[in-house]
Amino acid sequence: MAQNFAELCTLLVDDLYGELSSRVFSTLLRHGRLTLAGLAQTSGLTSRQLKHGLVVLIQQHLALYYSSDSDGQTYYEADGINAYMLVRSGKIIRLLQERFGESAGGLGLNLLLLGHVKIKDLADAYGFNKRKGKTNGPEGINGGGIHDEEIDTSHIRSLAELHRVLDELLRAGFVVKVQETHFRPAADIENDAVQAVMESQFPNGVKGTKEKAQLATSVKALKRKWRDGDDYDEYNQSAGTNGVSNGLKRPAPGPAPTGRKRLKLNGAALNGLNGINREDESGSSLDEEMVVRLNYEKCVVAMRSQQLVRLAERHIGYETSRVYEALLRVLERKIRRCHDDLRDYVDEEDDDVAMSPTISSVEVLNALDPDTNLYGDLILDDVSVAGANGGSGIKDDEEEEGVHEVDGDNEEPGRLFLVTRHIRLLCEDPHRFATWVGRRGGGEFRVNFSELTKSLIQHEIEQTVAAKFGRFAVRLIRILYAKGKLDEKQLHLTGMIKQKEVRAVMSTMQEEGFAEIQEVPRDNNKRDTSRAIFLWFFEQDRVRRLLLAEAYKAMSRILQRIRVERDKVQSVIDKAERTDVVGNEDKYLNAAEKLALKEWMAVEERLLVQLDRHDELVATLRDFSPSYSGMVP
Amino acid sequence: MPPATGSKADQLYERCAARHKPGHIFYQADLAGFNVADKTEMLIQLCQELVQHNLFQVLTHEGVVCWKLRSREDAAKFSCLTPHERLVYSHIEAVGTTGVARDTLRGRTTLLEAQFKRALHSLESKNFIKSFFNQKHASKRFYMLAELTPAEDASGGIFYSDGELDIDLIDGLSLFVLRFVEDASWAQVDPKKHQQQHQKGRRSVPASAIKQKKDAVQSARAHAFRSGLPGDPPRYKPPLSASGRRLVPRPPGHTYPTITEIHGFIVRSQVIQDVVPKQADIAALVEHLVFDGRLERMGVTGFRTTGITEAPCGSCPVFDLCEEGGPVNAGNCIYFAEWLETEEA
Repeated sequence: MAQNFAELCTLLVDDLYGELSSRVFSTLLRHGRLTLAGLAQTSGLTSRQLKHGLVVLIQQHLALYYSSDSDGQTYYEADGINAYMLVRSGKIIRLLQERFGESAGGLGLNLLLLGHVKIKDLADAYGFNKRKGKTNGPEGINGGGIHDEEIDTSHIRSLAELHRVLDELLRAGFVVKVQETHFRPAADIENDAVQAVMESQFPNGVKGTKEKAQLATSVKALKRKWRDGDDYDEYNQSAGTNGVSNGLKRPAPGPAPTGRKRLKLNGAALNGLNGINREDESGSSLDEEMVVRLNYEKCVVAMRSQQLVRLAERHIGYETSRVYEALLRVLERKIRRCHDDLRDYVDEEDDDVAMSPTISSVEVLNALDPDTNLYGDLILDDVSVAGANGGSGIKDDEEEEGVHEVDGDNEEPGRLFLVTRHIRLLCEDPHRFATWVGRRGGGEFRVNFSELTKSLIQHEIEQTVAAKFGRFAVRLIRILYAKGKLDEKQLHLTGMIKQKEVRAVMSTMQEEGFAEIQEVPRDNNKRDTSRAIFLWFFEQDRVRRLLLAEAYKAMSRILQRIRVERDKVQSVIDKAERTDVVGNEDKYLNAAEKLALKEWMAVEERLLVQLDRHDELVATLRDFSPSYSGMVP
Repeated sequence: MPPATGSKADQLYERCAARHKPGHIFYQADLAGFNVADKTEMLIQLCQELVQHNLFQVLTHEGVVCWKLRSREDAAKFSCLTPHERLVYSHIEAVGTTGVARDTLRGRTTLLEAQFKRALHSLESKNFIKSFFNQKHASKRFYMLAELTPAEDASGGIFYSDGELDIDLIDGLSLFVLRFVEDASWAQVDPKKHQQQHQKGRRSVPASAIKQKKDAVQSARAHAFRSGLPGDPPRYKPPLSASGRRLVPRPPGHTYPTITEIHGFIVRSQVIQDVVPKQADIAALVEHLVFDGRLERMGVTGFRTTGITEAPCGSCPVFDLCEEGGPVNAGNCIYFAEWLETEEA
């Protein structure tokens, strides 16, 4: 997997930042931690070239560095995960656009291109009206440069607007203040933290298990503080909606979630209006010297919500999935990252659930777009159903009646009731999209993300198995997932598949690594295979890694193919990009050339869509689950 | 020769036959109740006579001797069996509904292969015995008396025929179960009626707002078109019932059909000829449907159908060989070309 991953990351860096950067990057990725001298030795580049390359990599957070106090050397390390995130750029911009309007999308794009930036410099770069050449630089994996005009979507017209949008993104956690530790490799942070804690708390060394545990907790707390900066304490104490105040001089009035929803749904018209309103109140409120960058971890949280909403839509229905989307977005404000490796866990599973934030129906209702039709897929009463037969009519239980009455005071009678109904549908689904916690606020709910992630992963695996090995294979995998290790006979009985077919299907899956077999001797005579029991089993984690490696590899192939396709029509592209041709395509390009360009664009689009799908898969398999996030595979 | 008509033994037989069908089992007390014989010794003697003529068959039940009645035709057929055939028959009879494998049977009879084969063949052609496939030993031929049906563990239950899984029966019955569960677990909505409910639920929206929204959608589409990306189509089609109506989830708190209900339905509707399936059979069927992803568990006991169909995606047969600079790579891949339709195949 490491090899596939390295190949993919190098390709991505190469596409975006050119050959020099990618050579430095791949050397670092392959050789691990290196000094400048070491880099020169292994890469065959001059130190001048290396410095040029490293500057770009560090600016983009693709390389980390650490200057050691003890030997005065500076060590460099590649950051694979951040390099991988380059493939997600398009998705992240789309996401920001969708949630915070076009200006946020444009700002996000520029932040991506700049890596990290001081707010003052960002403002300079904008010039408040149009962007300078600086932000127009390399153009993303689209390459080609034909879609230049596409970038021109960011409508940031004034410094105030820039600050407003940034403020909004900072509050939502999609943009974070850059900390010094963000540039350091994880191992060095660990070492520094341990050293700092030892000096301050345990000057005489650590003795016994109790002190060791204490040390570990303190180190974690310190690392947390370094990572999250000033807002750490505030965040942890309130863990609430407005907890994330990142370098703000004064708290601006709380963001209106419904307004934000409107933004998304009604597009540019309302957005402009809204923007003007906000502009008046919030002047230049951000610290000009603050350095910011996009927060990938938060984007992954948003991706997780998207995928869950899609799953809910597929299994329950559109309207319910809209309610779920609102629910998850409210929850997102309380969640910084899918999994925090630095949190204090006593018992992983239980704590994860117990410490996860809760949400009430009222909160969901407030966050929900008021135009959402809540009746759509909701059957209020079995009697009203056309052609329902066999279903027992259901009477509202007391609790629901109660909700109904409370609703009477509301300006919109019944809406809270309907929202609660939808959430309860989500709770009842076998996927357990939400779980009921209490009755506060018309019903209090919680989302068990770790279980849902497992079922997302399982869903992906099953889809792959279905496509590769057919229906029976999926059935067998599901049986093994539910029941553990089974022999052929039990598989055949439970799955109602002929024994011969079971063997055929299972052995093809074993060849590809989707299922494993274990030989258990029946007695002490271990060499006698005829007296052994053969048990099939399926391990989700193993298959997950397998699929992940394949996804990396497939993504590399797609990127390579994009290049091949581009090379085929390179001459035409070059012509189309000539300054005299741009804008006068009809005049200078002949029909064949236009056709070639059109076909190439169609092909590239398909490949990019496929790349995007693979990325979704990677997100599901790697980024949502605790054991992997933050780790370089 | 059968006992002479009107003789005591014949009288006894007639009385038995008048009251019960062949195959019925009589105890000594039952026979004494017919008042044919004056004394017990006499009765025993008469029974012995009937046994000799194959009209009675001696059995023991919990240490007590009893007799099974045979029809006259069977007795006649039985009388003309050869000793070998009778030997084979008695061994087959002894195993009851479990049946016995051919080789095991031959071992027990200690006959030569040729003799055994002839006897077996003759018994089968006279319809005394029948062969069947045991589900546990699919390759072996098993024998049992013709009038018996194989025991559950030998035949494997209702889903087996001839020792193999009866896939057609399973699929047929599955469809039946699925339709029942679907009706009981999803609400079916008429598109028209649904529309009305839709309207009812909607707040009254001024026409201008609708127009505004439409324009927004239009411009979004136009934008999407410009940027070369298709607009967001509905991602999933709503699940439809067999009659083409939309399936909509039941309200929360709905009780979904249980195994008992599904079993009851199957039994009532008598879809399977001659056999009444056990609840365990239906439970196994339902479990297999759950693993097939066509049913899902709701709560502890309930089930509902899944309202979705799986989406397929492609897979590469030479993926392991594919690497940069290798014999197969992203540049020369024919599968890419085929998928992208860049070259004519």
